[in-house]
Amino acid sequence: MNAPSASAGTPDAGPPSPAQRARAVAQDWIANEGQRWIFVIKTLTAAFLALWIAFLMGFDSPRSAMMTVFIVALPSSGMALEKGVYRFLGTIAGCCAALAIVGMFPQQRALLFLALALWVALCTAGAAQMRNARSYGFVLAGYTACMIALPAIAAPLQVFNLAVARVTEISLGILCAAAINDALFPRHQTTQLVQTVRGLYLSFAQLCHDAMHGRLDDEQMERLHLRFATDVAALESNRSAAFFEAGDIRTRSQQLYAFSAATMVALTTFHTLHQLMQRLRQRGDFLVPDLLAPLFEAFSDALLVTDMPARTAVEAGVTRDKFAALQRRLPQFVTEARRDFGQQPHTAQQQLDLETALELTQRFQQEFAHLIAVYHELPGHLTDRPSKVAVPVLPYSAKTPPMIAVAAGLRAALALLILALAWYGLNWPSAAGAVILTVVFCALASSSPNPEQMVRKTTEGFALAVPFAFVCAFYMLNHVEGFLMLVLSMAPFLAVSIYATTWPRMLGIGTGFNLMFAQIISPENMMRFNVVSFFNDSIAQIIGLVLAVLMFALILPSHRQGSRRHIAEAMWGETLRLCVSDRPHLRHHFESRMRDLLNQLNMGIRGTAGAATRRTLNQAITLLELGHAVLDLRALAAQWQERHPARLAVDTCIAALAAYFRQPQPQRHAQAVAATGTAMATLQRLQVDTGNTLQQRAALQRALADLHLINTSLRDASLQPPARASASPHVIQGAAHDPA
Amino acid sequence: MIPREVAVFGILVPSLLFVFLLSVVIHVGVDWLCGHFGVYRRVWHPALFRLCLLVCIFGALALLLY
Repeated sequence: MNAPSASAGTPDAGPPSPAQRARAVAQDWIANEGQRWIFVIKTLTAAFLALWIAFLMGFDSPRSAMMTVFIVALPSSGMALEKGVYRFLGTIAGCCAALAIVGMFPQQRALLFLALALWVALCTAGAAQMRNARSYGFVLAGYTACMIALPAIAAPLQVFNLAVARVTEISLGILCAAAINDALFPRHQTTQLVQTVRGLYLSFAQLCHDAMHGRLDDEQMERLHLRFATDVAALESNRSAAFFEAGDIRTRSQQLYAFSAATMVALTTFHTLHQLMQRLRQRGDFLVPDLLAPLFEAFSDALLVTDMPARTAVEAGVTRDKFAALQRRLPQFVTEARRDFGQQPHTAQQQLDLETALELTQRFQQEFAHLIAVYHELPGHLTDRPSKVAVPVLPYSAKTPPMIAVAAGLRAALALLILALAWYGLNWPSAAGAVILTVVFCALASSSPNPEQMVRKTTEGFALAVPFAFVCAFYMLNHVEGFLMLVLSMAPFLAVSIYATTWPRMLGIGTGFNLMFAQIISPENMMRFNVVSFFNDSIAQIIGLVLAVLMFALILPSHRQGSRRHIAEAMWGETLRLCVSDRPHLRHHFESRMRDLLNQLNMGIRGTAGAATRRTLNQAITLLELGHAVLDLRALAAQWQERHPARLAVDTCIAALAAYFRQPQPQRHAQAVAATGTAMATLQRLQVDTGNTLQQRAALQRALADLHLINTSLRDASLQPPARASASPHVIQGAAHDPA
Repeated sequence: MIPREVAVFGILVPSLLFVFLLSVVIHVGVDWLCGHFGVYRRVWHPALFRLCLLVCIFGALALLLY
């Protein structure tokens, strides 16, 4: 706007070097501060535009339109549109629910509150379950019903008007915010998405390269796994926001799903290979790692374009060609490694290690080649692509462990009921505001890993807004005549707080300030200046927020997002499902669920991770390795005949594993390890049998490699059950009837 | 010619609202086509272009129907 151009105009006098420096400063200012001020101007324009239209149309409460603009104001236009759409849908659903509830129980207060609490519980649980933009729609459906039904208790006949007014005002706010945000100096989510995709690929390739050169220790690897899980989640949320922008992202969803699925799978295979090598090295067994060193050298060479991995999808073409060349040389590498191995003295164990490592290397080569192909195709024109993908790729989907979601729903419902009782007892006219606000924040904060902090920040913003709103309302607005003067007297306060929202640390405070400011000043065509109700309302709002914090502290405080215990249980449940379930796409589900759980674990970590959290993290990573081997083994076993001895052995082994995952106790762990040992012995005996065809021998070899992997993973320190069996009772009730 | 207001279950709803909803539906389809055939790569301001498309569709429909 005019501010950046004014400062850009300054560097025109003096020698070139200060001028250049001034220009650099100006450009830096435009890139950082300029963007923030553009955001401030956009939000203010949208807010006052919405307010003006609401005044013009004579709406009952124009402030709702204005507050919607503040809520929907997000840095990128994709995010704003996404939130707007879900806010609209949520409002519609909430209004319908409110109409139905009030219509059913107009005279029955108790039943009305129970029905309302049930609705709020369902919506909040749904929101806590999803943790994406859709969950905001759920939250809104829940609390909109409260917002409409509670004021309608005294006058049930008004409920329809209230609902219509609410929907109209919210849609007006959304339309204004969307139009201004999208058309005026938009910041595209698509750019962000491209950055995320590039970053994900780059960090993955760098990880493989560094790990192959032995530059990563275990702790770095853990951190990278966590970051990877976060990046995958960010990719999905960026994609879903960019979906709403003008462009071709919505037709590329399949490609992006394929990209993130391919990265997840390739990372797991790579990690399994890396972990196998690490375990051998730690054991002091260097025969296999040394034999495979030239192969890894070739891999890490192929990963680099010049001296770093491909930065863009176009550069990835080079990597793709290198990998194609590598694929042609791979059989030769494998034969050479086997030949060299045969010439040296070795044990049966080492033979198994070598075969497993070779198997994994070939799998990794295929998976990485697939990944690079998907990545390279991303920027291409859609019409250039040969045909539609035959098998649709499933999306990465975030899902909170069900117990946490249920707890969130219960908490919101209980908050509503308890406060309704208190409201009845207090007989305070403003208490309805407090009740609504508590429910709103119990629902909103339930998808945050740190709800107390989120609500506290908002409370600070609310409290801060009260004195300023008082000054604005009773010293300025009462002298004001006309809309322009109203804008002039409100804008300075709002500009500062919107500016504050552009700093991540101030986001909660700034948003709280905006909402409270618009809420209690309540600009209307016929302004009402009532100091008593001003203070009553502001006290009620703040009390409502404080009560929300209290609810989080009192009702089921340990059931929150990122709770380690629930995540660990969900992990074991997922692995159990791999052993027993016959659903399609198990592998994809498992991958994305485990990454999602890792991401949740990461959300819950404040500061450095504790020992227990790191243990859970290691368990997750080891279970990922193990899960793939289990799936592969089951797929192989399904090819054998019903009564084939190999199949019987494998089935017994899987059953023992399932028993362990159902109840991780030391005794069952020992049984599972023994079962894999027995199965391996059976398979080895069958392999020596001469009657097998080449294909059967290959299948047996692959199954042996899988069993070997399962065995080593089971012996990994993270999967050893703790000495005190009662310390972590992972008795999973949820897993048996796990919702599909 | 359609009436200014339509009664839905006894509630008077402005008929322009239905026209608007219809044009939003059409707009979603046109938008998808534009994305698929890369039209947005060739315009200067895709978001503004899209907004204008919506206005044009709505305006055309409203003028046609009234």
